[in-house]
Amino acid sequence: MAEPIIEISHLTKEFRLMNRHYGLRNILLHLPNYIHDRRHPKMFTALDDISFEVARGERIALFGPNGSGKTTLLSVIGGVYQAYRGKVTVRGRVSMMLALGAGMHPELSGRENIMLNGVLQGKSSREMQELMDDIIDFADIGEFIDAPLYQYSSGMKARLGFGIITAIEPEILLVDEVLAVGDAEFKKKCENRIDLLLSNGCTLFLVSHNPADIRRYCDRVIRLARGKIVADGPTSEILP
Amino acid sequence: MSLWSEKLALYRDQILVLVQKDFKLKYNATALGFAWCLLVPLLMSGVYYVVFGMLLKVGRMPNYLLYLISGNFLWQFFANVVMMSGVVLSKNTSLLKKTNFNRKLLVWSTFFSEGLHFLLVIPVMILIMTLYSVRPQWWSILPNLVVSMVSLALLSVGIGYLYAALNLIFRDLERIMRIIMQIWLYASPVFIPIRAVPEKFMKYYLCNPMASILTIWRNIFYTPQLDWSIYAMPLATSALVFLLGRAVFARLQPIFAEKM
Repeated sequence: MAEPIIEISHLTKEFRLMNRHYGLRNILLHLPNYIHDRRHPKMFTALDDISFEVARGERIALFGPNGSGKTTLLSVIGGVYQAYRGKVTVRGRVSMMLALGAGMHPELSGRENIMLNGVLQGKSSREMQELMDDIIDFADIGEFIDAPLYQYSSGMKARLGFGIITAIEPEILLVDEVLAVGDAEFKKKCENRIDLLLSNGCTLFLVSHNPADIRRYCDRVIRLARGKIVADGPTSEILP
Repeated sequence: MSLWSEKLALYRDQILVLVQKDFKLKYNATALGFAWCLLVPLLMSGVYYVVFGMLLKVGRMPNYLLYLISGNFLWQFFANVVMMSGVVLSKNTSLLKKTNFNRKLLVWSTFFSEGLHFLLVIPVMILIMTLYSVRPQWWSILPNLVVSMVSLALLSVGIGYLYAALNLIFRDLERIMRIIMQIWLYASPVFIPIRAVPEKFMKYYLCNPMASILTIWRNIFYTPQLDWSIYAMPLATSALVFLLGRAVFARLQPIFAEKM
C-alpha cells in the first residue's frame, strides 16, 4: 500500500466570530459585555473533527451547502490556514485556485499575472516563461491576455487561472467552484487537462455544487454539512 | 543541487515578481514616474534649506545643502520601507488568502523595490558632491557603503516586519507610526547639524542607529573619511531589531490570512 498523499486526522478549525468592540469608548461604556465576550468568545466551528485519507491519483469532490466548510478545508490543505486542532499531512506540491482571480492582481495583465501567480506557487521565472505560451493557448482569450485583469469576464478569469494551475504540473490540485462559469467548450478542455494530469498521478480536489460536474470529474465524493463529514464514498453511491 | 540553493533561487524569483508588480502598479498612471524618488528628497532639502539654513540659522555649517540632500535621500529610503511595510499585507490580501508563499518576502520586496529607486540616488550624489568640489576618499567608499546599507536593510526590514504584523491586529498603529517616524526624523541628524550635539553626548547620540547610519553614509559624500569606530553600534542594534521583528512576524504569520 502506497503512503496516502494527504492524511487528515481530527482536524478542527474554529474562527472567533468578530463581535467587534470598536474603540476604547465603546469598550468602557459596555465594559461588562466586553469582558464577557473576551472570556467567552463566540466561536464558529468551520471544520469539526474531520478525518480522512487520500490516495495518490484520487479525484475528490467536496459537496455540501454554503458554509459547510468546503473552502476552509481546501485552504487548510493548501496551507493558507493553519489547523486549530488535529493534524494535516500533505505529501506533495499543491497548486490551487481558491476563487476567480485568486492569487492575481486586478491591475496587472493576464501575461503578468501568469508570471506572478506561477512563481508565487513555487515555479521559477524561467519555467513560467517556458510555460507561458502553453497557458495562453489554453486560456484562449485572444487580445485580452495583455489587458488588465479587471477587464476580464468571469469566464476569462476561470480560463486563465485554470490554465496556470494545470500547467505547473502539481501533484495535488485544489479547485474551488470556478469551473461553473465556463462554457461547454471550456469544460471539455478542462476535462482533457484533468485526464492528462491524472494520468501523471495528480490528485484532484474539486469544490462544486453541480452534480453533473462532479460526476464528470470525480470518482469520490466527500459530503460536508456544518463542518462535519456526513458521507464519504464513490461518486456513484453518493450521487446516484 | 542542494535544497537550500533551490529555495534561495525560488525566493529570488518571488521577490523579483513582487518588485516588478510594485513598479508596474506604482508608475501606471504617473507622468514623472521614476523621477519622483529623486524629486521628493530634493524638494524637501530645498524646504529645509530655506527654513533652517536661511530663516532660522540652525544650519550654519559648511555645505549645508549637501548635508541636507545626502541626509534626505537616506532618510526617505528608510522611512519609505518602514511605512510601506505597514500596509504591504493588506494591499496583497488576494495573494495572502489564496496562495501559500513565504510572507516575509512581501516585506523584503518592499525593501528591494525602494532599494532599486535608491540606486538612482548614487550618481546624483556624486554629481552634487562634485559641484561642491568635495573630493571623495576612494578606498573608504566601499566599507562605508557596505556597513551603512547592511545596517539600513536590517533596521528597516526589522521594523517593517514588526509594523506589518502588528498592524493587522492594532490598526491604530498606522497613526502611531506616523508620529514615531516624525519624532525619529527630528532625533536624527537629517537636517539637524550633528555638530549641535555636544562632544561628550556623542557616544549616546550615536546609539540611535539612524544617527550612526547617516554619519557613515555622509562619510562617503559629505566628509569623506573612514571611521571604523562607529561601525559596531549600528550593525549590532540593527541586527537586534531585525531578529526581534523576524520573531514577531514568524509568530503571527499563520493567522495573517484569517485577520483580513
